[in-house]
Formats: sequence, structure tokens, C-alpha cells
Amino acid sequence: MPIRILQLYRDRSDFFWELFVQHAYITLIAVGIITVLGLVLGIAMTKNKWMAVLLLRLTSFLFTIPSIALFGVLVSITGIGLRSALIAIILYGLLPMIRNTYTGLIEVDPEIMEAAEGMGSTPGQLLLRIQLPLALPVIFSGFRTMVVMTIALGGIASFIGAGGLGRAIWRGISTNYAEMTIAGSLLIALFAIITDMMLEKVEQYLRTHYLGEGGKHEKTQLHHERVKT
Amino acid sequence: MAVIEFQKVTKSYGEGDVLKGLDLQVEKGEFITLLGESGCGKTTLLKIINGMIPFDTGYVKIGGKLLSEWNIVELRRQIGYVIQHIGLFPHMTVAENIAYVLSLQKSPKTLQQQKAEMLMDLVGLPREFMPRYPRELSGGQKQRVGVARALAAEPEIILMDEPFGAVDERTRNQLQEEMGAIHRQMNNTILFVTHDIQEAMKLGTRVVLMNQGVIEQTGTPGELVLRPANDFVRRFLGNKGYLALLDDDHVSRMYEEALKNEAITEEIPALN
Repeated sequence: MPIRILQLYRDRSDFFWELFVQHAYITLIAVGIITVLGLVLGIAMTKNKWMAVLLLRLTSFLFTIPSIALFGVLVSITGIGLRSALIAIILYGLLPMIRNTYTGLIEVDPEIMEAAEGMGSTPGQLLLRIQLPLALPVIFSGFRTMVVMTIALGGIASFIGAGGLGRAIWRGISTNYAEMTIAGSLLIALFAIITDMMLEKVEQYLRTHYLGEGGKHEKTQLHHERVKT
Repeated sequence: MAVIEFQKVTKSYGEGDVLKGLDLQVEKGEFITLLGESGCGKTTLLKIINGMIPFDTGYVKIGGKLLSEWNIVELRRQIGYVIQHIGLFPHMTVAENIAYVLSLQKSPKTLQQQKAEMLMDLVGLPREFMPRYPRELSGGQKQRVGVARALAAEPEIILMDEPFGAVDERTRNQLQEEMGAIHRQMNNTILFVTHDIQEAMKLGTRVVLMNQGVIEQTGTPGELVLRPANDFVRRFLGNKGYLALLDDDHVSRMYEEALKNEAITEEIPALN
């Protein structure tokens, strides 16, 4: 079996490469949109408690809906294709991004905030020079969770015609071709794992750079959730 | 003209008044120590000056201008601020911490660097500490950075909220000496909150003794000790065994000072 999967990679390398490029493309768009949206919403939430509660509830609620069900609902509204897939992926990805941005920002030591404010920082300077840099490790931890999740969810997005490595899985299932299904799954897993490992390095650097010695802030690890598929 | 002026200022946080119609005038170059037990309103008074805490009624003037007429960001940049736990920025080096206000004002980098070097010397920190991060410093060194950071924009007024509370006694004594020296050198106006009588007496050119939202007495350390205005002052200083803690030198210096200010005209009755 493993030999036959390797043979499949060799024989159909163009096919897999094309799927990988599609997958990376979907991931990139989704990650971009989620990052911007998550940061903006997360920052806005620190200014408005009511909005914070509402958004956290809403994104948590979305998170509990099985992805297949969400895809199904979206297909009936926005049709088959990339658009529906992106909407679903973005809705899922928002939770870790929003929550970590919000938590990271409000957990900045009030003493530090008071000093910065009392020394004459404008609200913008307070955010850009003090709050965001100090929250960065926590925010990045949410970003990392979100990216890995997006890669994994991209595999399912192919089922509604969005392209990507999920197509190999789908083709394998529909033609009863197990090697094809496994080959596609392995590539998605590999993509996610390698990305995660690279992001982990970045996160470690941020932690030592912004928060001092690594390991001192394990509690923020709680925000790093298991990947949902 | 007074640099800072409080007129009938009140403040309450819901239950009970923290400041009950407080009057205070601070002249340029004074080193005011705000003394009193916790909850007496001394920190509230301090933080009203740089707009960190809004007050309810009365008026406050800074530099002859009503607080409400100031652009609050501009005002804060002209007032040095050192808080209890210093609140150094952990993601910035010592030099960046010191030059923070200058960087907010977008001063040239070379000027920031020069200023930071000068202030390192002034507060007695070796220059090789400049690229270090706050986490690499001892408690006393952090306080020094905090003081240097407050001095960077050459503020007319400096507010200090129990800045030396968290260091050991030896370091605290050292920091007090240095703070006194800095004040004599720079001649800025300092308001310094403390609950430590000795610290208040040692540093203040004028002591403001507060109790439950009112000022019980304000005067030179000598005046407070030798001429307590009321029973509260007498008890407050007495209960802490303040006189017993003083060395003779200090007492005679205070006595001379009080004589000079005509606070007392006869021999000291309270001593011996």
C-alpha cells in the first residue's frame, strides 16, 4: 500500500502539484481575510464590552456547527464553488483570531498601560506601541491555530467545488480508490504540519522577544486549540 | 504664580468622598511630599493633576491654565510620571524606555540617544545597561530607569506615586538621596506620594499631610514636627515614633529651618 501511494505521487505529480497550488491559494486568501477581520474586530471589542460578549458568543456558536452542515447550508444560499467555501472557512477561522486578539490586548499589564497613558501616549500610540506589541505573542498563537485549521478545512471545501487537495480525497472516495484518498489526506496533513512547525518557530521567537524567557507564559498556550476539521 | 492650584476640589468614587473640597497651591521648585495613610486621597490628588482621574467639583489649574483647557496629551508629555510599580515597557530596551516620551514627540533619534545617555549618568546607571531589557534589571535599577524615563522630556512637574515602595531599605535610602540631588540640580516641581513618614520628611521641602480627603497640615518638615496644627498631626507623627527615629542632626536642622520660616519663635518645647 505505501509503495502504491508513492507510485501514485510519482505518476500523477502534476495533478497533485496543481491541487496543492489551489489549496495554498485558498488558504492564503482565507488567512488574509481572517487576519484583517479578526484584528479589527478584536481591537474594536476592547473598546466595547457589549460587542465583545456578543462576538465571542457568536463565533463560539459558529464553531460548534459541524463543518459539513455549514457547507451544506451555505451551498443552498451562495451556491457551489470557491465563494461558499471561503465564507465557511472564514467563519470558522474568526474565533481563534478574534479571541486571541481580544484576550491578548486586555491582558496587557494595567500598570504598563497606566504608565504609557500617563506619559502622554495618544490612544493610537498606546495601541500600536504598547498594546499590540505586548499582545503579539498571544495574537500570533491564535493566528497559528487559525492557519492550521484553515489548511485542514480547505480539504473539505473541495467537496463543494472549491478545488484544492480535497479533490484527491473526493475522487478517491467516489471511485473507490483508497490510495488516492490517502494520498490526498497525507498531503493535507503534511502541509498543515510543516506550516505549523514553521509558525511555531516564529511564535517562540516572539515569546522570547516580547515576553522574556520562554515557558514563563504557558497560560497563553490555552488559547492554542486543537485543530477542528 | 502657583504652578499647580487646587480650589475646593472634590472627588467621590460612589460611596464616600475621597477628596472633600481640597485647596492646595504648589510653587515652582517645591518638592512636595503627600503623606497619609492609604485611602486618604493622596494618590487621587496626584492623578488628578495629569488627568488620569477626573474630579467632580472645584477647579484645578496647571501653569495658570484650567485643567479642562489643556490638551490632555500635551499636558501629560510635560509632566513626568512615575508610578508605584514603575511599569517599564518590557518589549523596549532601557534606552527606549527612557526616550519613550521623546519618541512620542518624534524627536530625532540622535537626540533621544544623547538624552538617554545623559539620564543614565544622572540616575547612576552604567551606560552598558542601555541595550538591556527591563527583565534583566534588579528592582533598584528598574526604579532608576523609571525616574530617568520621567525626566526625559525635561518636565516642569514630576508626579511620583510611592516610587520606592518595592525596593529594600538600603536601595531606597540611596534612591532618596539621589532624588533629592536631582531635584536640587534640576529645580523642577515634584509631587511625591508616600505613606512613609521618614521618606516624606527627608525629601519634602514641604509636607502635605492628608487624612480622609482633607489636608490636615501643610508645612516644612520642621513645622509639622515642632508645630503640629492639631491632634491628628500630633498623633500621626507621634504614633509612628517619628521623633524617636530622628537623629539629632536632623532635628536641629529642622529647627533652624523652622526658625528661619518663623514657624517657631521660642525654644523647642517638645524635645527632651
